[in-house]
Amino acid sequence: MAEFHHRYMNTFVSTSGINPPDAQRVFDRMAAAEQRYSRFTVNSELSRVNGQAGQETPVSQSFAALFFEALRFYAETDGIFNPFLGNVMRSIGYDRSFEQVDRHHALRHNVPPTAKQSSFTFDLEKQTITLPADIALDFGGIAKGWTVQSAAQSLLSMSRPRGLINAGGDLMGWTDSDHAQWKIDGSHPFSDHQSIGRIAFDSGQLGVATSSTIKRSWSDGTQLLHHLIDPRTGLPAASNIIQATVAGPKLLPCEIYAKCLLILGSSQGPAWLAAKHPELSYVFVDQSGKITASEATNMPHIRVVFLKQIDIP
Amino acid sequence: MKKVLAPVVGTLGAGVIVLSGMAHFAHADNPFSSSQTSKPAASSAPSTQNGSSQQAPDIKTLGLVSISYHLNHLDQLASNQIAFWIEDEKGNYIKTLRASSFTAGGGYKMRPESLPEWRKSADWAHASQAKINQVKLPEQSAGSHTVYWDCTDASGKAVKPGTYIYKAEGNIYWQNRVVFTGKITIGKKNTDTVAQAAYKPASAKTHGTLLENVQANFDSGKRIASVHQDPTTSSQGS
Repeated sequence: MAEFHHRYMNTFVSTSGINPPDAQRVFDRMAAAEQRYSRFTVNSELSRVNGQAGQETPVSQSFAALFFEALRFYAETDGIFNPFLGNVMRSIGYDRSFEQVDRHHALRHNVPPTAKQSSFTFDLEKQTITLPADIALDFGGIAKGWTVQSAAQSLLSMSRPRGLINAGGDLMGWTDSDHAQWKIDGSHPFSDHQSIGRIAFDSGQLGVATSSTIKRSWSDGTQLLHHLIDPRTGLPAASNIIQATVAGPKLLPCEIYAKCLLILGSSQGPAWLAAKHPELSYVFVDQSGKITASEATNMPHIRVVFLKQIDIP
Repeated sequence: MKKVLAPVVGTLGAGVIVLSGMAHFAHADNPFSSSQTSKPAASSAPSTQNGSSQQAPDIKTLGLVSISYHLNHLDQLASNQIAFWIEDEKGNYIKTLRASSFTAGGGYKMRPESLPEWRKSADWAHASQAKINQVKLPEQSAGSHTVYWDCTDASGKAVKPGTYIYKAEGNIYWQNRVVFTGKITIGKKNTDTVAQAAYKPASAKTHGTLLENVQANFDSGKRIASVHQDPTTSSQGS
């Protein structure tokens, strides 16, 4: 099985079972997405839109497409997924590419309150966005998930029988029954090299995404912070889940709902997710190391086997 | 729907806005979705200068070497680490095929007894993160497995016809190791060979059998895309 890899969006991106020209197509998409959606690239389209908050700003078709998806998930998740958190990220010190964040004394920024009388406009005909002043977009994981899913769907539309694209744990694979199954290990929250379970599927397509409060965490010198914001508080989520994995037919809902599950916690999240998307399977690890998995899956071609308990350092 | 105009109805937490009138949006069709299949900008081709990619050009290679082995799990400390790599006939390092993720990922800094022969040959202390990610092998189940060499070197270039050495190293118990060594000739003919085990020190064998039946075969003209290998994919959180 050929494997190719590159680094985009501060993430290790790899392809498996995909021929070299197709792998190059995937990487081209990732490069384009990084250039378009990065909050940390001064001349990205996202930075331009954020820099013109308060003004009507024309956007590209690709940008409009992703923004439309972000709004769709905003509505579907009752605002638990919120793409308007760019300034909140700055306020907690995540103001640069993560490898450049001072993990022990991150610089925090004051964010002025947003006027309640303001409004937000997305003109679909003119393809323009008008953000409220002092509000910034942050696409984060949705841009990565959207790009991987788009790349996978593009290859599927070209009748490629098998492939897998993995962008830092947000992955989408597909295979027909004539080929070997895909096996996807779930990593330990504190060690990428240690597996805590496995998802396998024989045929069809599958998206898998994992959100963690451990991987991108830092301190401002007084308190521990991480990048998964609970929009109800404007602060890093304080639920009892430290890692959540969601699997389903497409990657993007998995990416969104893994984040939401983690934000909502073990008491509220599973029932909320089951009510909205019963077709999605989930596995999460709580602060004590207990692993909880959804009881049943509506995808008979996948098998989910995880440990029940792991040690937490 | 031509325009989404949503008043800000809440600011729960500085910088967070809550919009009203969005409920209908959950089921709306994305009018821009054709962009999913649009071509990315021509100027956005990935850089190849940092060496972090096994790049895409389809390389014509001599064939495919399949190295099969039987793995046992040893229920003891500082064990179960394995690595497979290729050297030329003079012992010059060519390429690492796979190495246990703990050691490949830097675990040898905590446990310097881990796979020392492979690390020295590969100069692994200076390996890039991309190279580490490329070769790391998650824990495998006990049983028979195969790793593949596509007859390219560490930079991805096709190697010349000739005789090469394939090696498999395994940590049995702390510094007690086994190293399998075999020679395989690649060219126009298919070949099969069996590797010989050397226990280091000789008494290492008394601590258990980690690897067995290490053997290789070369299929002239076969491409790596034609085989299935245990994936190393994992979803590790972001």
